[in-house]
Amino acid sequence: MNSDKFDRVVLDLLYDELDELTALAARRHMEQSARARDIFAHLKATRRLSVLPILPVPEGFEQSVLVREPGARAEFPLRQRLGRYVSMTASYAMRPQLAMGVLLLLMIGSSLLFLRARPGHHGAIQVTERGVPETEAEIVVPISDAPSEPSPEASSAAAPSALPASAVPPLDGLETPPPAVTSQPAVALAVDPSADSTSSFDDAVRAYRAGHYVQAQRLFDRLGKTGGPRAAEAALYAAQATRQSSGCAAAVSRFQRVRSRYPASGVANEALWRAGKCQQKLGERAAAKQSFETLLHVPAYARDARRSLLELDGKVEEASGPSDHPIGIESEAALDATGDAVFTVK
Amino acid sequence: MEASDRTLMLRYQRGDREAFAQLVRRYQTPLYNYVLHQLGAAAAAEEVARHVFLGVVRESASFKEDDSFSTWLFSLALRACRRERTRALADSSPRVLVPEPRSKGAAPASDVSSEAAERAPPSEPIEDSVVRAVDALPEQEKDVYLLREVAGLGFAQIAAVTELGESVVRVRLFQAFERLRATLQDFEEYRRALR
Repeated sequence: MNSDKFDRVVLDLLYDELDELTALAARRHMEQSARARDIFAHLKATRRLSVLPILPVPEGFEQSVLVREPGARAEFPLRQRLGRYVSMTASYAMRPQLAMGVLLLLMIGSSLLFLRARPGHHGAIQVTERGVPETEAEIVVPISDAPSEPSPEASSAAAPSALPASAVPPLDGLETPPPAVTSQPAVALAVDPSADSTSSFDDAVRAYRAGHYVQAQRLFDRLGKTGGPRAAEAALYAAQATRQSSGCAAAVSRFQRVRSRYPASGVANEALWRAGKCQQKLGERAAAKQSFETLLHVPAYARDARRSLLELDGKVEEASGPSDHPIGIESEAALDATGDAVFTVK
Repeated sequence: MEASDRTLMLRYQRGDREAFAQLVRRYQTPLYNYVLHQLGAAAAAEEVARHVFLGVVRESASFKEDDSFSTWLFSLALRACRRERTRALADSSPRVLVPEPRSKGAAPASDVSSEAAERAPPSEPIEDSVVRAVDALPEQEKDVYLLREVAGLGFAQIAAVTELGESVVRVRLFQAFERLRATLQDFEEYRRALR
């Protein structure tokens, strides 16, 4: 510490209002500087001796103030007094509002925690389709990587499969809808029992059969993500399970994704076909037409695609759905590829 | 636990008169003595001190939650003292030092120049010399000295009351001490205090 600094802090040192470090530095400076010691000593002595007498207040002073206090308050102009009362009242009134404001901010803040990061697919939502119900025996095309020409007999009854039906026989019991979803058609998932199906794939199928479409979709999705030889199949079944649980609106995009993800596989055309049927159901004529027109070039789907196009153009009448044509009364030959309608050509 | 000045003042603003009474009891002695040493007359000091407290009543609405009550109170007191000094000068009323000097021959402060006041007669007790010397301080130095030594305010508060900078406050106080030292250095008590 130098002399200038000391001069600036000496009074604070006198009144003991310095922080510890500065006080220590000041005292060290005084040890080294006679001038500093002299200044401080004179200040200290002067202060000690120049104490002014502190006298008590005159008798009755406090009372004389308190007696006059109401008068001093009454001296306010009426307007100022009213203003005081208003401000006092308002200060009380603002307290609950302040509390309410804090509460509102807390509520807004906490509600932000519940905002979803992505409005993802709500698998748990059950959507009931209106309009033409799906048939009970909607058959999924047996899947294999090598599409082939189906036999003419198979085309009338089976799904418009690109693969021989014998390659992947349909699941048992799926022609009859599971009890939990009686109004929905069952889907015959063609599974080759001789194939090397994992237990998880079986679990997924079982779930589907039991009418637990959401669970089935989840299981098939998981299988699709893990890859493997049945990934494409699982993806298609997952999309179908979505159709069952959430309806065509949710399933269309899934079918389209299957097609784009596995373009070279056997599921691509089936996915496109199902997407087209969904689009038809949803009234998306242009999109459905495009899907069916693409399938005109696929021999296995050509006939049904033509039918669907005619239907879109209104040249054929779409007959009622499976509820009017329960399986057993009408032969399966009367059911179209997806089991959706029986065509009556005008 | 005693309520703080701020709490009492805020309570008074909401109509609690007992809070005001507590403030009066807390500050009546330092305020009275501050005014007394400013004006040098007991009767005037009592009247002005009472007026300052009633000023607190009248201006209570202007007290903000962030304000320091002691700073605000002594600001009112300083303004009241200046008005009273101006009025007293206009009236040319004689001033009497308090306490009364013990030596009979001591002249009234109003008749004594500041230079003469610094040279205390040897027979005068040191206390009287101090009173006289403080009374003779220039206005700014006296304001600062009394706010520090009688009202007990800190440098920042004194700066707020007097509307001077803190460094100026320190300089004024140092100068006041130097003037008082000049008065006291001839006393034996002073020499003893230096040792």
